[in-house]
Order: sequence, then structure tokens, then C-alpha cells
Amino acid sequence: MNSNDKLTIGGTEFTSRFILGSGKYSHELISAAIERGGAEMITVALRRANTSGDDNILNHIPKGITLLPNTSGARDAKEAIRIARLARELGCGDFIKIEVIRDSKYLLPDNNETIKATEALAKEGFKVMAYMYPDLNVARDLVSAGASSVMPLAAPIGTNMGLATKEFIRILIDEIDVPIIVDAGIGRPSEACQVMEMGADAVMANTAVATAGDIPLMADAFRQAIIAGRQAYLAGLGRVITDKAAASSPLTGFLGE
Amino acid sequence: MNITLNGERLDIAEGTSLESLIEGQGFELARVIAEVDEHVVSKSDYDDYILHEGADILVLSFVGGG
Repeated sequence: MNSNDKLTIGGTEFTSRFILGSGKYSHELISAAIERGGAEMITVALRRANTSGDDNILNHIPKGITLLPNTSGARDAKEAIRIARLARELGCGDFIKIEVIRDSKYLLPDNNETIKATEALAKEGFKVMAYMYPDLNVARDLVSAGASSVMPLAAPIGTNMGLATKEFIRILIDEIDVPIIVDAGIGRPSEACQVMEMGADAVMANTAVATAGDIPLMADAFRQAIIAGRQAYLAGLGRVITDKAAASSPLTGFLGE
Repeated sequence: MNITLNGERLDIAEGTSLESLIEGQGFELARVIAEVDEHVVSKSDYDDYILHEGADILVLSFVGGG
């Protein structure tokens, strides 16, 4: 991979375009998944702390990995802002993934509240990465509100259903200048590869890795798929012909000639 | 006096600081953040922050999540 091909989010450069989630699998596998996935950014959530014998997740995240706290559990902008401020007090940087959800069945993000939270937190110096339903007007409003990146969902959280919103993500890639990081619903490395080929800037995955038979191996598969997709995008895909074939071997000099 | 810690009622001595409460309850101070009555308290203030009767305290930490 070309080491000059950096992903820049909120002024911070990353070589990896794979953002890994840390939910739904054991702490013991987190460092292996980070290493095999080549991830440089990992999401975490904020919850009520446990006491005796609590093995904190931060003990399993190698130094140098950027933490991306999310605001999961927030039902409106006010709660997202509150969670973001708390997360920053833990001293792990200014990145925040805004996630505002008030639908408990499909867990779809509330785009309007996400814009409000983004505006408030960007003013406070947060590097806001906004999880959103892929809507072009909302994405533009998020950028105006100061979002460092937008994170359109591919399918509902945790479903592994794949690229249900593919054509709308394509519109965001075409029109939005901040990094587009496809988040939620991607279930297979081939789907991650596909959105990277389309020109997405990065992919975030959690459940696809967490529910795999071999977690570190699946993280490795995502790493390779994301690199392959990025390289294909940079190379420029070959043309498509739909009405006839086009021989790849010369059409002259056959044995019978 | 009575306070609430992560949703549970607790009887503590008057004059208890936030830091004493957090450490006394077995939390790992470096890995948690506290909110009192929905206001985040800076870690540098924990030692000086004396809890009042009825204080509603949340102690939070990072967990796995997407």
C-alpha cells in the first residue's frame, strides 16, 4: 500500500482505512483483532463502571491506537453532548462518534438531532464523526455544522445485511468533501471492498468481526479487502461492455493462418 | 448522609470527597469519570469535591462498543 495515501480526519492522519468496533467480543481478542486488522482507530462506549475485578477495556488497547468514543445510548442531542463531554474527561482525545438513536427496533439514527449535537460539539473543539442515515441534505448540514467526517450506515446496526443503502452512499461520496466512512451493516469483507472501490474513504466494522468464527482472522480479511478496494479505486476500474465480448488475446496469428 | 451512586442508595460519612468515594467503592480511579447531579466533574477536582446530602453520582468507564 502506498504509504503516502493517508486518511485525514479532523487534522489527524491515518494510514489504515479500517475502523474497528470493540463490542460483543472478549477483551482478550481485542488486541489481536486490532493487530490483524491493522486498525489505528477503535470505537468504545461509555457505561456505568463496575468495581471489583473489573478488567477495563483500555488495558487491552495498545498505545498509539486512537480511541473513538461513541455516544450510544443517547436519545437526543442533549444526551449525546453530555456523553461526549464525559468521554473527553477520560482524557482519551477529542474524537467523538455521534450516535443518536430513539428507535429501539431498527436502531436508525436521528439525523436531525445528530446535526444539533454536531454543531454544539464541533464548537467545543471535538472532532465529530457523525453516524447518519445517508441523506445528501443532512450530510451537507453536518459538514456545515463542523463534522470532521460523516458515517453513513450501509444497513441497520448489527445485522450484517450488507450494502442496503449503496446508491445513496455513492451520492455522498460524489458530493461531500469530508471523509465518508461507511459504518453499520457491512457483514462481509467483499462488501467493504465494494464501498472502497466506489471511493469511500474508510470502513467501520464491529459485528461482522465480532460474530465471525475466528475473530482475528476475519479482522485480517477486512484489512485486506479494504486495501484491495482502495487500490482498485486509486487505480481506476476498467471499463464495462454490456453488448458484446472483447477478446483479451490477439485476434491475429492463429495456428490456421 | 444518603447519596445515590450509579442508581443505588448509599449511606456515607459527611465530608466525604468524590475521590474518597470512588476509591472506597473499589473503582479504578484512572479509568473512570464521574458526574454529580448531571454535571461532569474534572478529575483534578475530585479530591476537593465534597459530596452533599442527596447527591446523585454516576461513575462511568469505557466498555466495548461500536
